[in-house]
Amino acid sequence: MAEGSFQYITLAASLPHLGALFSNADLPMSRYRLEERLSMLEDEDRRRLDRIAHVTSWPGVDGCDTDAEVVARFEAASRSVQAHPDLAAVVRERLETRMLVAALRLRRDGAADPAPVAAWGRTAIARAIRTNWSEPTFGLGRARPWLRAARALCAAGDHIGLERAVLTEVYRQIDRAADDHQFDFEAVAFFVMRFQLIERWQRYDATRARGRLEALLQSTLAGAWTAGNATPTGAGMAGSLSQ
Amino acid sequence: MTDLVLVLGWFGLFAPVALGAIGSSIGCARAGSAAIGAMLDTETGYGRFIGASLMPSSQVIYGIVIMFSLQRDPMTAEAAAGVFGVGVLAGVALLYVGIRQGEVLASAIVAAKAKPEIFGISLAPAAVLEGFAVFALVFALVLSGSIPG
Repeated sequence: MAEGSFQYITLAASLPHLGALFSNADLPMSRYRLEERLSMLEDEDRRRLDRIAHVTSWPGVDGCDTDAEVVARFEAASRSVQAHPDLAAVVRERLETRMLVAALRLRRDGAADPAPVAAWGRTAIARAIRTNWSEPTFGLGRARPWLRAARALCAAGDHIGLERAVLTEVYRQIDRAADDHQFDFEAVAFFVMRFQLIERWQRYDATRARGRLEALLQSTLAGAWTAGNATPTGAGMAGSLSQ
Repeated sequence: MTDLVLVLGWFGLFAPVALGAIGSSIGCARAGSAAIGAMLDTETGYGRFIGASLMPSSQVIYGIVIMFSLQRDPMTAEAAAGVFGVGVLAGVALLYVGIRQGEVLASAIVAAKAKPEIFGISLAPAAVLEGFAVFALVFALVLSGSIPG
């Protein structure tokens, strides 16, 4: 599909408004419906989009054994969209954000030196992390204000808060780049990337809820067992479910 | 030389229609594509999306009006230069307005799909562009009165 093609206009116009990342509203369309709309793309565009969407989604680098492999995947994806500089920039920014968060976690876990960062390539961010390992925000706090909050959340062990801060930043990066694209390949790619973020957050919440429910059930069953041994009334069960 | 001037005169005479038709086609195609996309994502409002997408069609109508006002029978060398100048420039204006109208209408349709209450106001930029095309039409009509023949 050529740039500025009328098909892009139809496709972009058929995609719903996604709204804010952490609003309680459900996704305005299902994954099935999204795939159906994306079938308007020509094969080559679809392949490029899938590559970008895959690498920027969480499971996309889940199977990577080494950091170098993750970096290589991102770089390959970025090269595949060289004709779309804004999109390539978002992919690179996404990798940089991952690097910064990973560096914060490494340091929190007690890494005394930036040795693992050597595998992250020769990007400016990797160099800044290596050079300023002892700096709270790797000397990047001014250019990336979100790092201060992320560092505090990471140090406090607030994983959900950190996840939220990172997703907010990534969403902002995409939003900023998407401002200049309404009816082109980039517009569609940015939509898919934002869709994935919201989908992931909602799934993340569901996972949390399921984990909490399981914990509650276990503690309830354990309480009932103990209470049953003492007095066979099962009276502790209602109390646990209301926790 | 006279023949060339006459050819240019006929070129200028038909330019508002041809360029206006091209502008209207591109504008309607852009806005129409957005309307079709919007209809996939909404359950209502189909009529107004399609209605809005037809707005750039006015450019070719203005072009036809300008053509009739410039028409000279017979076309003379004295009239041809004026017909060429007014016709071509008016046509270029109509072409540009048609294309840009298509773009703002596509944006308006997408915005109104997410927020139906802004449908009316979202058409304002396209209406302003329409106003510019009307300026081109009116002053082409005024100037055509000064062309001999």
